[in-house]
Amino acid sequence: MKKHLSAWILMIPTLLLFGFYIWQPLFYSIYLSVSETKGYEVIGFAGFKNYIEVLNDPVFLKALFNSFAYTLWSLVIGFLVPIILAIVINELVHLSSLIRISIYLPNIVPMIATILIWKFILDPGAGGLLNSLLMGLGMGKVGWLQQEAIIIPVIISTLTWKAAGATTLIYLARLKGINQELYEAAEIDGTNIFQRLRYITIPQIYNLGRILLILQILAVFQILIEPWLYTGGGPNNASVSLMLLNWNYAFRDFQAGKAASISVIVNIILIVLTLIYLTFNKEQDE
Amino acid sequence: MKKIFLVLFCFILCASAFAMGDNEAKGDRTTTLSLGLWPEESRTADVASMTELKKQFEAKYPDIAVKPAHYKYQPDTFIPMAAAGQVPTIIETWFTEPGKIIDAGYAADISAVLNELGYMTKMNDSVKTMVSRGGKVFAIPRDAYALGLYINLNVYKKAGLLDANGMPKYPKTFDELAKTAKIIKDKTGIPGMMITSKDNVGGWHFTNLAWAFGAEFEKKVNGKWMANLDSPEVIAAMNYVKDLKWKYDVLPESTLLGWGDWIQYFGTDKIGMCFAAADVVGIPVNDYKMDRNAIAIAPIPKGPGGQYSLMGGTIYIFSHTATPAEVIAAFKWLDFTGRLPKIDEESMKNREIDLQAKVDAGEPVGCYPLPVWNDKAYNDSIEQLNRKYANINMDLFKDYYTIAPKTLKAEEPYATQDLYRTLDGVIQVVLGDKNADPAALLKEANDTFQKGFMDKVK
Repeated sequence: MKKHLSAWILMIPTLLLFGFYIWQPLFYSIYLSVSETKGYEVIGFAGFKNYIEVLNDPVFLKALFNSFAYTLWSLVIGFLVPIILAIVINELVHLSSLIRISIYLPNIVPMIATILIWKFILDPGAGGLLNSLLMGLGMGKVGWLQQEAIIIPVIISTLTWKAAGATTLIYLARLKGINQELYEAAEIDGTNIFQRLRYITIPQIYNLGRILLILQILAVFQILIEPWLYTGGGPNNASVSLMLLNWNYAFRDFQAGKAASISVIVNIILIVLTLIYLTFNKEQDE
Repeated sequence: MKKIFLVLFCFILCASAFAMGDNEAKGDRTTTLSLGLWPEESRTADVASMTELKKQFEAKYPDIAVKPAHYKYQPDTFIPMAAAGQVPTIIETWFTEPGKIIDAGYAADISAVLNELGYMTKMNDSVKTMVSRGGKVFAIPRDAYALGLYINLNVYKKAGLLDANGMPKYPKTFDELAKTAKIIKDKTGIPGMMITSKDNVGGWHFTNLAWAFGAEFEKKVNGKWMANLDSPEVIAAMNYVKDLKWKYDVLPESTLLGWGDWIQYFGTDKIGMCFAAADVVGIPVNDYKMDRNAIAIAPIPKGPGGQYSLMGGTIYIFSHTATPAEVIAAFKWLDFTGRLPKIDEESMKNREIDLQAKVDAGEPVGCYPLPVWNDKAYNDSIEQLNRKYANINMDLFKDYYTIAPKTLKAEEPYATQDLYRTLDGVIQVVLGDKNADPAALLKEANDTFQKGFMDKVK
C-alpha cells in the first residue's frame, strides 16, 4: 500500500470525478426511481409505484415504440451512408481531402444551429427551401415536420446529415490501414472492383462496423434534443421518444421519481439489447 | 522529485476548489433580498429605473441588501434551481404554475406574513384558492388578464378592414371570425388567423374557443370528476378549427405553432389575428420592433354557447429556502414599489417611475390588468395611472375592457396543463390531416385523459 501511495493520490481526482459524474447520478437515479419524491427531494419509499404509473401513461407505449422506430430508421437510413462515403472517398484520387473536410463540417455546427437550418429547409410553407425546390419541379408541398407518418425518418435524415461525417472518418482510417498487397494480389487474380469490395474491403471493416452498429443503437435510442426542438414530440406524440418523455416528467411536471424510472427502463432495454447483440456475435465468431 | 511536485499540484488543486467560498461582503445589512424581479440586462431603461429604486429602498431599509437576480420563469430552468436551493427570494410566474410548484415543495408558506400584514382578507377568492394548499397560502397575485383577440392593424388596413376613424371592424362572433379571416386571406394573401397547437398553448387557447361552443371539459358526475372531451360541443369547436384550416384556408402553413410563434407571426405582420392576453402586448413590440400603435385587442368572439374570456395572470412566489426575514424584506420591496393593495405617496410614486421607464423605452403603456385584490380604491388607482401614462390609443381596447371582465372564466380545475397537452395532440392531427375525424380523435383523447388524469382526482 505504502509503495503505491503516490499512485493512489494521483488517482484521487479521477476517482472523484468518476464518482461525481457517473456513479453518483447512476445510483441516485435508481434510488429516485423507487422513491416517493416531492420535487427532487425524496420523502419516502415508493416501491414500484413510479414504474407502474409510468407504464400506465398512455404516452409511454408510443414513446417506447418511437424510440425503437428511431433506432431502426437510423440503421436503415444512416448505417450504410458512412461506409459508402468512406469507400468512395478512399477511391478518390483528386479532391479527397476537400470532400473529407466537407462531410465532416456538419459535425462541428452546433446542435441548435443545425436544427434552425433544417427547420428553415423543411418549413411546410411554400417558402420552405425544400418545398420551393419541389414546387419548382412541379411537385406539391410536403408538411415535412408535421405529418405523423414521415416525422421519424425526416428527423433521422437530418441526424444522419449531422453525424455521418464523423463515422465516415473512422471507417476511412480503417480503410487506409488495409494492407494494399491484398488488393494487388486480388488484381493479379483478375478480380473486378465489386469482388474486391466483397472479398477484401468489407471483411476488413466488418468488425469495426459491428462496434459502430451497437454504438449507434445505444446513441439513437436515447434521442432527445432533435424531437424536443423540431416538434416538441408532436404531431400528436408521433415523434416523442423515451428520453423526451423523461425530460418532460423531470423538467415540465417536476416529478423526479417518474423521470428516474424511465431512465432505469431505458437503461434496462439498452443492456438487454447489448446482451442480445453480444450473444449473437459470440455465436457467429465461434 | 517530479512525482512529488505532481502530487503537490493535485493537492493544491483540490484545496483551492474547496476554499472557494462565499466571500460576499454584506456590511451592516443583515438580510439579503435576492430579487428575481430584476429586469434583464438588455432592457437598459428598466435596469436604470430599478437601480434607482434599489438605491432609495436601501436608504430606507439600512438592514436590507438588494441583490439583483434577474430570473424569467421557465419550468425547465426552475426545477434545477429550486432543487439546488438557488431560486431568488421572490420571482414571478404564471397562474398555471403554482399547483405543481407548491406540490413539489418549492414555494414558501407565506400565510403568517399575509395575516400579519392584513393582506390575507384582501386577496381575490378564486386567486387565493389557486395558490393555497390545506389552508396555507403560498403565493400572491401580481395581476390578472383576460384572453382576447389580438388584431394586427397593419394587416387589417391592407385588407380594407379599418373604418373611417381607423378602428378595426373586428369579428363579434366565431362565424364572423372565419369570414373576416377569409377576407384578409383573399385580399392580402396573409393568413387571417392563427391557431396554436404546441407546448400546451394550443390546448389553452382551444379551451377558451370551445367554451364559446358550450364545451365543459371536466365535470362532476355522481360525485366523480369525469373528462368530457368528446361532447358534441367540443367536437363542434374542433370542427370549427378544422374548417379554419381546410375549408376557409385562413391559417399559416405551419401547423406546429407555440408561444414564440404567435409573437413572431403577429409582430412581423404575418397574421391578421390571434389569441393572447393584454399583459404581453409589449412583447411583439420589443422582440420584433412592431409599431405599438398597430395593435388592437378585441374580446374573444361569441359562439353558439356564449362568450367567455379565459382568465390568466402572474403571481409572485417566494423561495422555499428563504428565511422569514427575507420573505418580509421581499414584501417590503413589493410595498415600496406599489405592488401591494395599499395606496400611499411612496408606492404610487414608484409605480409612476416604472411606467415612465416603459414609456421612455417605447413600450406600449395603457393596458391595465384586471383586479386581483378586493380593494376598489387601489384597483382604480392602477387603472388611472395606466391611463395617465398611456402612449397608445385606448379606444382600440375599449370593447375588450368593457366585455372581457364580464365574461371571465377560470381555467378547467384539474390537471389543466395535461388537458392542454392532450388537446394539443388532437389539434395537431386536425390541422395536419385533411381527412382527420375530430369526433374519433376526441373520443380517444377523452379516454386517455380520463385514465391518465381524471381517475386520479379525489
